[in-house]
Formats: sequence, C-alpha cells, structure tokens
Amino acid sequence: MRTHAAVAFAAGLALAPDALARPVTYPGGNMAMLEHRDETSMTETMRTLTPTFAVGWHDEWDDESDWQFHGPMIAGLAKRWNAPDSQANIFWMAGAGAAFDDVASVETAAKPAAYVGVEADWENRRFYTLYQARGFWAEDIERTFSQRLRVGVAPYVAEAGALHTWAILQVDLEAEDDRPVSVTPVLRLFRNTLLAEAGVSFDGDAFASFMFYF
Amino acid sequence: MTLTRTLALALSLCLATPALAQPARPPAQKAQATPFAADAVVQVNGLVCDFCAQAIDKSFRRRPEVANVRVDLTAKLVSLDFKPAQTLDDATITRIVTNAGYAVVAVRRTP
Repeated sequence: MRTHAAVAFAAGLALAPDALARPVTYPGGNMAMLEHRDETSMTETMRTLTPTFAVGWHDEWDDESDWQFHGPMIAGLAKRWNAPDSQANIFWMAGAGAAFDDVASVETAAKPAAYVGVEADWENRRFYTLYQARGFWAEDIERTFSQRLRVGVAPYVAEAGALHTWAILQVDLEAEDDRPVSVTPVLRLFRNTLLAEAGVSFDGDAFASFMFYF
Repeated sequence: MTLTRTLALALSLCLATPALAQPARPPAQKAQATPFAADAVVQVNGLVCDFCAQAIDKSFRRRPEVANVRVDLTAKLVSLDFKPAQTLDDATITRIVTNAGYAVVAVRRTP
C-alpha cells in the first residue's frame, strides 16, 4: 500500500514534467554513462552533433534474464522550455543492434534487437522530476516495457563550480520483472562535469550510476 | 538493516555536503566574478544547474575572441571578457547561448 502511494505521488510530480541524464547536450559535447541496477548493467556514450540531435553507442547486460545487447543509438531533443528559474525538456531516443542469449558470451547467434524511448524532465535549483519510458524488443530473447519516475530535492542551492547534492526517490516499473515496482532512495553528487549516484531499493537491490561530460 | 544504514548514510551526506559546497576558487578570482565588471553580460533563462554552466562555459571558450567566461546561477548571468581589440556581436552571443540550449533575455555591454 505504501509502495502504491509512493508510486502515485511520484507519478503525479513527474507528469508536471527532469534533468540530468540528458542524452542531448550541446554541439560538440560528449557524455559517457554507466548504470547498474539490481541485475542489469548498461553503458552509454553520446556525442551531440546539433542543438537537438546526438548519436552514440549503447551496451546492456541483464544477468537475471541472461542476455546482452550492443548497438548504435540516436537521441533528440523534441522540446525545451527555458524559464527564468527552471527548465523542462522532452527527449526521444532509439537504438538498434544485436542481442545475444547469454549474458557472459557473444558466441551465441546474434539476434536483431531494437528499442525506443522517451524522457521528460523538469527542474529548478531546488526540485527535480523525471519520467522515462522504454520499449525493448530482442526477437525471442526479451520484450519489455519499462518506466522510471524520479523526484528529487536539493538540501541546499549550490553555485556553479560547487558540489551539488540531490536526494532522489526513484521508482522503476516493469510489469514483466520479478519485482514490477521497485522504489529506491538515491543520493546524487554532481560537480562540474562529474555526476555520481548511489542507492539501495526497499527490496535491497543496489543502484549506482556514474556520468562524465566532456 | 542494510537499508537503514544506507538511508542514514545518505541523510548524513545530505546534511554534511553544504559545508563542501563552496566553489573551489581562490578569493581573488571570486571577487573578480562581479558580473558587471565584464565586457558583456548576458541574462539567460534556463540556467538551473552546474551542467548548464559547463555547457555555456565550453561553448564560449571555443571562440578565439573570448578571454574569460563566468556563470552566475543565482543571478542567471553569463559574464564575458574579450581579448584586447576583439569582441562578439549580440547576434553571435545569442546564437552561442541558443545552440548551447538556453534562452537569451538581454545582452548588456560595459560602456
């Protein structure tokens, strides 16, 4: 019951549109990202070519379902709202490549795989919300639809060049998963071009991510 | 138990980090960062995070005319110093900020 209440609360805030895992940055800007949650790990590298378009490479490993995926990806900024004290964005992303029915080896036959996703975010210097959704298809290996909701608050407002800290509540939704709903408190530390996050879900699953902008 | 410890650690870090939150700038440079001491001051919408500041900073520093860039998130101002006998016109400044993903409200010049 408490989980459902938390999900409803986070969903309500996320619908009022985040902010930092931005797939599109600025022309010439690059981003590298690592993320681990429960039994899933992924890496992503992106280069922004125009103010609204980026290309990159995506790798993903799922220990629980025993598969891995590798392939190029594209992402775009569909809409941005710049207000005096806040910013909101809508992004889209898509990728296609090869999936392998073994998380530890690419010696099995490569199967075609693809995904599409959307991301909406809103933030000011004190509050942060994010909604992400992704559909992933890999022939007879995996078919999932996953969503992520985030609500964050900064315990203090930091100036440029200082350490930025965020306390975030993250809700991951995936109907096909052993745990369809996973709620994770996350601590984010961000300074200059480095961002690190860590948390443990209420089910005891570890979450960590690291991003580097260059 | 692990979760309780994690939450306690997270809370402690949240409470402790403000002490670490001061920008790593020497006092002399901090005093120099007064926005209106710059050759041009740009008022910008959408400046809400450190990454925004990095995007603006890197976009301007690519230009050979620019000697220094400072971003003030609280005042929502970008201060530009140009190299001797060089400048950027308002349209170019606006284009650089817009391409970085932000919106220019006004560009002011030091007389």
